[in-house]
Amino acid sequence: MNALPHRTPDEVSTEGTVMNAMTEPVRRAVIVVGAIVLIGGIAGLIVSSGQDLTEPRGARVGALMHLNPLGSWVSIALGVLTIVGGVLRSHAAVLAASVGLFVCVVFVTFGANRPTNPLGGTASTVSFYLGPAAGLLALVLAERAAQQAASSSVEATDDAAREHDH
Amino acid sequence: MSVMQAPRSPVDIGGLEGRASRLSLVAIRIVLGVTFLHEAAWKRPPDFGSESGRGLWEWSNFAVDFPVFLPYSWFVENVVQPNFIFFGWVTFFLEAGIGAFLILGLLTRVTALAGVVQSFAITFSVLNQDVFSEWSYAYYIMIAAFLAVFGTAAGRFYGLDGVLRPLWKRSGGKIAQLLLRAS
Repeated sequence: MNALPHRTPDEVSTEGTVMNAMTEPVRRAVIVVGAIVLIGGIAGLIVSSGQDLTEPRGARVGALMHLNPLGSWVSIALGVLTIVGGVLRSHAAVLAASVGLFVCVVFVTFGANRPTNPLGGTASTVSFYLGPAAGLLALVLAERAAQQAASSSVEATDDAAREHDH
Repeated sequence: MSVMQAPRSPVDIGGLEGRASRLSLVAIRIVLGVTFLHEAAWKRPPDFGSESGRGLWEWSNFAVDFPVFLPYSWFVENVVQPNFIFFGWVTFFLEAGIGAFLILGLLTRVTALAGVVQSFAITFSVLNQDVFSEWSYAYYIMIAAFLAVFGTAAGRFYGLDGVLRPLWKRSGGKIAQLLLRAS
């Protein structure tokens, strides 16, 4: 008698679809991180309302970071993209938001305290972008790695079952 | 014969007491993170104050002008000052990173250790200076708070580490093992 589970191609395919989906804890975390970026962007837009779009020294958002109107709009767009990615359980959208946030980190790092500083940020703004960028990337990569490990384990079980049948 | 159960940590238990313990740790973690996010702002590249004699340059020089711990003063004078721009960037990313990662609870333990190191560096720089009014106990509290965040792995409660650790455990691999230790 075959003691090992034997899956049909359909079963593997169904399981594969489920394993590629975003799990609920990751989805919730993605939405919370997106909300932080979105709220930061909206607050930035309010406090920088009198500034030029690309003012080199952005307005101070509370006692935290600096953003100019462009930096605020970019934050809002990336926050919305992250939340949409979470709602739709789309790894690709969350990954795109993470890449966008890393680009912001680069722009602010090389623009801070210089005449050309398109997002109007300082080192605090680097901090504001860096956390969500790294966090979202970690969430997507960790979930994919876990799913891949589970998938490999299923395939190994199936191979063992097939060999046992023969 | 009854088997004695090991006492459980307040953060591991359910109910109001457990929740209060976890929320206290989250508060410490986030306040530390926001403090470093805020303080990162005056680390201004590209010269970090070395041309004007202000900012990070002025504060790091306090370690030489008002020594607290002589080996650290020697290190600042002979290693940091000749390579100040490099150490300026290290401080820029270190403080921005501590703020970023602690607020979200990402890789919290290793970030808290970095916070302890940076807090000692600040303490050894400014504790004896008399140019600005500083409350010395603020630095001791900061070091103690970072140690508490490290010791309790505070990112596992209401933080990204709490979401990521089960995934890293499932994925296995050397990098995942390393990340598990760091969180």
